[in-house]
Amino acid sequence: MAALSTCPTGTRNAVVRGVAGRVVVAEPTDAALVASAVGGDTGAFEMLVRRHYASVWRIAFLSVREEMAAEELAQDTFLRAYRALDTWRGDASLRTWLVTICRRLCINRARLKQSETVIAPDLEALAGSTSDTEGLADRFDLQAALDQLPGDEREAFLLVNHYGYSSFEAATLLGVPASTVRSRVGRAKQRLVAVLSGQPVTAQGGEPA
Amino acid sequence: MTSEPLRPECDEVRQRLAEGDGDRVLLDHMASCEGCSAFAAALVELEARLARLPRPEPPAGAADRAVSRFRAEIAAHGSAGTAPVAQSAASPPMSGPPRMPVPPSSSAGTGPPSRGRHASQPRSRPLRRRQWSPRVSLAAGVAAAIALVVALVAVFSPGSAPPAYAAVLHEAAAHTGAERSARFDITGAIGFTVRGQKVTAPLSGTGATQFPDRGELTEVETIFGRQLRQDIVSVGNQVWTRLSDGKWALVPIPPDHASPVDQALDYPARALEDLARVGSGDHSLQTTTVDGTRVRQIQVTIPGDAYHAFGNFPEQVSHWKVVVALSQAKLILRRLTITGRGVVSVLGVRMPFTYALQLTLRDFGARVSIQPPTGGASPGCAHCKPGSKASPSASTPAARGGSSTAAPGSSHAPSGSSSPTPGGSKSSAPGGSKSPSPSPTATKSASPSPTRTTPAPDPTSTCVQTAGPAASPRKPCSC
Repeated sequence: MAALSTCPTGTRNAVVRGVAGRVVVAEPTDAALVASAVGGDTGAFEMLVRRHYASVWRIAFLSVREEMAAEELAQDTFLRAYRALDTWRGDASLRTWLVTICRRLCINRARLKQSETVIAPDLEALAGSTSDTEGLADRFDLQAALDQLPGDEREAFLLVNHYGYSSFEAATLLGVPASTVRSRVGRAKQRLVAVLSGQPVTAQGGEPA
Repeated sequence: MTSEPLRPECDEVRQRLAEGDGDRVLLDHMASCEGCSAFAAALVELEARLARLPRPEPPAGAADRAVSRFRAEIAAHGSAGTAPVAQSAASPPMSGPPRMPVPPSSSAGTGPPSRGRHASQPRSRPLRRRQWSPRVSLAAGVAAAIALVVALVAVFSPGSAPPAYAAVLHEAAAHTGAERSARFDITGAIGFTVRGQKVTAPLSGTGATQFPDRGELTEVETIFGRQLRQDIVSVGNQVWTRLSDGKWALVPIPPDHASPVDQALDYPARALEDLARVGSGDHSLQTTTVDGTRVRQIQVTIPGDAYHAFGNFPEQVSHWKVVVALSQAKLILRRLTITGRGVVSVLGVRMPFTYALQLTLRDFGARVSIQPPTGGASPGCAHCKPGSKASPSASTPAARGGSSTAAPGSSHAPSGSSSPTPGGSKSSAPGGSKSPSPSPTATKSASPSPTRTTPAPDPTSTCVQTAGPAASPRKPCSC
């Protein structure tokens, strides 16, 4: 049983009466927040920013691999999204829509720079998150192996296997068929297995025939 | 896993395994193929290792900053779906009252609104418009003019509240100071007019800084068609240079010849603090992009004596213009440009000059480890010799604030009567003020270091620079 109430930001929340009769205030859906934001409720959009910021930032970070630049791209993403909010039709999830905008901005930024940024890998960030030396070395190895992947495979692999996107979401985001995403992920895994086991890697991925 | 040549069927099986397939055909193949079976086990191990790899997380407060920028944008540009996307993304964050939607009216600003025109407006949003009145408008105009004059006087009179740009620079100093290190590129040119001839000396270089007081720079100057390469390392109050002879030489840095750009080489936060303190006449320039990062730009004018371009050589400059580019997202210094023109006297020759130097910072937090060079010392004057008796060893309270780590056995006392600023950096207060910088960043860097060996300056010592007007921002002298 559901009803509608108004939260302090003016956004409609779904009030669900639970089995035991308790009233549970469910989080407003993305669609509801978008509708409110389009109607002028900036608080609703701020909720969306907080809800999806990490996802958007990660996509930016995946591309630029620099925290500060990723933050700037994430901010630009939300500003662009807000201006075009009424064009979101709900075909894809809002998260996918946002990260697609973000990825486009990343591509534009790369074009603007016209040269690939060489940035020290985020090994120090990893180092700061563990006190286990053995685990640290393991992470360094894995990070180094990931850095050796071709860009499209690395992107697809991390999206699906590390960031938790489905193949279909990643396909929408990358603008390729889902089968291509699965293929890229597969090749990336083959390369990673080969690199981590110290074997040479072919151009197609995997071990040499 | 083996390193034997892979059979074609194994290649297909492994690709399917990697894509997540697991039908009976694959299982049958693995049962008979040791290599593919090991590959399947390696895949499982890879998944486990990947699960242990932490997902990158945005910095603390990043979402709040995004919300803040969103609010500023909305205040400046309006609500959702109402403005071109590109315009929004390109515009700087601004603060100001929210732009309220104004109902359409053909009589806007020309007279009282006609009653009943907006009868279809919902009652919850009544149309409130002030009745037009010439007298009221004129009075408002006069008041606005008076308010503007009062505000201008308040801003530019001595003792007034700090201007808005100073707050921005202070905030940028805090953000920039929080970074541990950075790399930078330096470029610029200095032009001289000698006996009617114009001589331009371009320079460029790259370097790195390790906050708060270490920096290294390799630069190339082109003077009269010849390239002069110079390596410079600074650690605390100590500066070493290496020219083409390959030997490092310890050189003095006159303490009263600090400048914002000099500071920016070692510690950009201090440079911003200096600019906030001595700058005036700020002027916000349009946003631009530095190294792919969108930046807001602030132009600050600093007095002519706040920046010394040519070391000990007397120079006359009315003012310098400094353009600070701060990343829009986090207000971190990305680029600092200083320009000016004046006259410098070298060996009795007065040479008009133009000066432009640009420092672009990048790779904040990069691994940088700057150590004093070994095997070099200045053969020059007694003050510059490491371990010289002429160099005092007493530590004044001011000098105790030094955070530098000098080369073992070296103790160089630069000339001048001013006290060094806390932090042991090469800065005195620009503009002739020798008071220590009260900035939080300076205080942080002023913490006593057990490894510090930098002595206090000797007020009786003199160290005359005789080198030519090198384009180097470090201004090494050869005593």
